[in-house]
Amino acid sequence: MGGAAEVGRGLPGEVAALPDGKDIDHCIQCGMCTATCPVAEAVPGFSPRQIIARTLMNLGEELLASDEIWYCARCQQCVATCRKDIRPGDIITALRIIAIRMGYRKTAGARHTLAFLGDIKKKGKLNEATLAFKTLGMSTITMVPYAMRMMLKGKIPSPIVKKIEGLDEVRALVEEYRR
Amino acid sequence: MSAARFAYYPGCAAEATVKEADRAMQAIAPLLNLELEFFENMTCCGAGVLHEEEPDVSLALNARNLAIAERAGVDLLTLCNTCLLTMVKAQHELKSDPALAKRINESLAKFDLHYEGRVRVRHLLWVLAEDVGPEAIRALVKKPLTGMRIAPFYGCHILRPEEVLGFEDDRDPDSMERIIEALGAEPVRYDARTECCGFHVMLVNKPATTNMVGQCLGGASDKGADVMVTPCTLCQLTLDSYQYLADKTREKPLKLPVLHLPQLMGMAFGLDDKALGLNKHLVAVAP
Repeated sequence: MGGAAEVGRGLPGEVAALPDGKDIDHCIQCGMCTATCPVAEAVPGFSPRQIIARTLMNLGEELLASDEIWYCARCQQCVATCRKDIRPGDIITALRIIAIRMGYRKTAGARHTLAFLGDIKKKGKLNEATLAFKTLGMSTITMVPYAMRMMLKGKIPSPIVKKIEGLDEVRALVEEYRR
Repeated sequence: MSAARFAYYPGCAAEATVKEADRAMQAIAPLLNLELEFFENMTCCGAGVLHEEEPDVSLALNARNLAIAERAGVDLLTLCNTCLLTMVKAQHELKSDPALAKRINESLAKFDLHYEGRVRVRHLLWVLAEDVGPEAIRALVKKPLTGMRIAPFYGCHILRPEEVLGFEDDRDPDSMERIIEALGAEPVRYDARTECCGFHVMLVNKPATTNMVGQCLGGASDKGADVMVTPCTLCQLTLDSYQYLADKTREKPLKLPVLHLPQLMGMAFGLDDKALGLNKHLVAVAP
């Protein structure tokens, strides 16, 4: 038997209650996820295994408010490699869902996520031109050299996004299915 | 033979930032006998990111897109690995939660839509490898890419999770290599061909993406690749535009052009450089 009942209350229980996190209590802390993680290789200190360990130890507040849960690049290497099929990357997704629901919305990662629904409600499509600012705020300035290079090749997306047809259908679905 | 019809879903990147991918796709489609129909009423797939805020909204919107294709009686064709995985995952979710699927269908009925599960979500690479096939591709080649050493870069969301996507071995894929050979070039074997470009953290963790880009391009360059090609618009965007940042961590600049798969096809089919948008790359494509 697995699932929420065994994991108990608090953050581990909340993670286990989501389809993305339902197998968290099967984790044996083998560390294969961290061993295959390209972000862990690039950024010392990032570790999916540790994120899962901290979740199981109910160190919620700290984790949900952190930038760390937003560093996963969703490459699925850990999902492919996990010996217990717990889908570590999906557990990080579950933590992101919980962070947003509990109001931890100040990190760049959370702001990036929140931009999507706003854009889709407005036009049905993503507005790539404003995404960097919505994510990084004033720190967007660090992206100026990058933007200049893109501009020289005519690759700055237009801030004017054409509305899709049937946007009223999309808005109705958003209202009906949002929490 | 009549053309194979598809609901063409280029993805946000090809529609806004790397438009040359869309352009090249439109240019090669008639040669491959593919008829692409763009549906003005389809939404952004949410890229798995919308799922982090509103999982049910993300599922309902994907069900709507899929139902639009089903109503037209066509399969979906995308140029973006993340669109592919997001839509295929949505299909799995709808199958595994019949109660939610039923509720979503009741909502879609108001718009004269119904999701049955008949529609197949396809990536250009899959259509080329499976439907068109290397033989037919070889027959279309006018300017064989003889002597070119090409590094295939698959991208994550077309390979993993294999049990969800189910197209080819995620540890040892070969669809790209077979296409590169059909075009007359030599595929370069290197370890990073199934690694991650870092796109999904390029804003929130720039150092990680820079490092990942350097690993992927460096791996190909060390094995003597002249050019890299990828089926994914997001990988192309990252590997081309972050290359100058990766260069800062290396002794010598990489100068490795990164092509979209439809661009490479078009080159071998003898299409004009401009029609393929080869002038749109940050790392110049050598003539």
